[in-house]
Amino acid sequence: MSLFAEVIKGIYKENPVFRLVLGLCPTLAVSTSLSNAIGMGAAATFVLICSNTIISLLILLFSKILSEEGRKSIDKIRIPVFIVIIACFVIIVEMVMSAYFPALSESLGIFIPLIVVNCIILGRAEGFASKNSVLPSIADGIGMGLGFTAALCALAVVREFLGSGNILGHPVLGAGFKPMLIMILPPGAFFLIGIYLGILNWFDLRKK
Amino acid sequence: MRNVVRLSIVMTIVTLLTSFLLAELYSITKPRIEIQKMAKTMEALKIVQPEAKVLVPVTKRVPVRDGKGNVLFEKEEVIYYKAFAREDSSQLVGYAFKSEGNGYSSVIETMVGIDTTGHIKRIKILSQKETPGLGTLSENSEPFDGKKWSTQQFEGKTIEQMKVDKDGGPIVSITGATITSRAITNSIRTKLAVLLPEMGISKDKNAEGN
Repeated sequence: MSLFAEVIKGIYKENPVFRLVLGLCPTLAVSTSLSNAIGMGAAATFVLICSNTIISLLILLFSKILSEEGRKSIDKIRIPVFIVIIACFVIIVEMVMSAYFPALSESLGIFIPLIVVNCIILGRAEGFASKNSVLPSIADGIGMGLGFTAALCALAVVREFLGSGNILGHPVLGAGFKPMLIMILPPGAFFLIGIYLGILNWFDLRKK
Repeated sequence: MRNVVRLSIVMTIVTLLTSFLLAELYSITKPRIEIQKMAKTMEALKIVQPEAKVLVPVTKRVPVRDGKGNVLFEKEEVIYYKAFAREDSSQLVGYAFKSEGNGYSSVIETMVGIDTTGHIKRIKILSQKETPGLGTLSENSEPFDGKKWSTQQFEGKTIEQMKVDKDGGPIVSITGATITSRAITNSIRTKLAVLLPEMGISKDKNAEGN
């Protein structure tokens, strides 16, 4: 598969939220406004690309310097090693964000540190980066990151519009509009994810 | 045995490298984060004490205890700020302090400005992570119309009046977010009760002019 196809795959065919149904917890929590969605998407994309790169490099390194038996034994601690690497990048994001984008880091709050346990990232490390070489892993990280961001934005646009009458914090509906509170709360996200999943499945069925 | 050694070596190298990287980055970003915090505090102080030219922090030595209650060391902590109208720190116009209360899903920090008799001038929500769209309304400071929550409704209130409408007080709470409104109001009341004696404002003086 070409690198470009690897990127595209993450956005539509294997979209982490709508197709793989991974990482729903942060999705429910941060897709309340478009600015949050973009911030979270960017943070997760950064972590994904970096962790995929480092992990595929590490696997490459081990396969060069270790014997067959050595590699097998190293396999036992691959998950802790992945987590340490992912956590490292998450803390980098957290520190940089609170130093340079304090408003964003405040509104995303606990969900930035929780990227460590975001199953999309560990899932890609385990399922892709540890089995593929460096370039495809980077492409996969970019694709999955963009796919996650796109899914968050698709949810956030509707939730922010219906739930508070705003788009990107700017009021677009008049003062007479009564916000649908449920859209801002987690159940609203569940409804919307269900609707999106339904639409995507319907498209697929029609194609066949 | 060889296996254990090999695994430990790999794990050690990985954790050492990452902690080194993070320690470096921490020392780079820490001053920046401190500045951001200071700037936020200063901005909030300006809002709650608009006519003040100089704000002097009043500190107190607070003992830091370990789990058993032994005093480990004493720490200098800012308990409130004195606001002066003149550059040379004369003409006291009031005080400002930070209050903290547990809201629905976060600790809500509020900066409060009071005048010399302990009446509230302005408040500003510093940080909160309440349900977006509900509790976040507490940031809203539209002019107070008597029906809807606004931070401006705190103006001129005394410690006795620091109660939300559901608790029989005059503070109109946020629709659908009583817990948030109550947290803010109660935290101010508790803090005022502690600080008013320290500032030398008696209860009677505070109740005057109501």
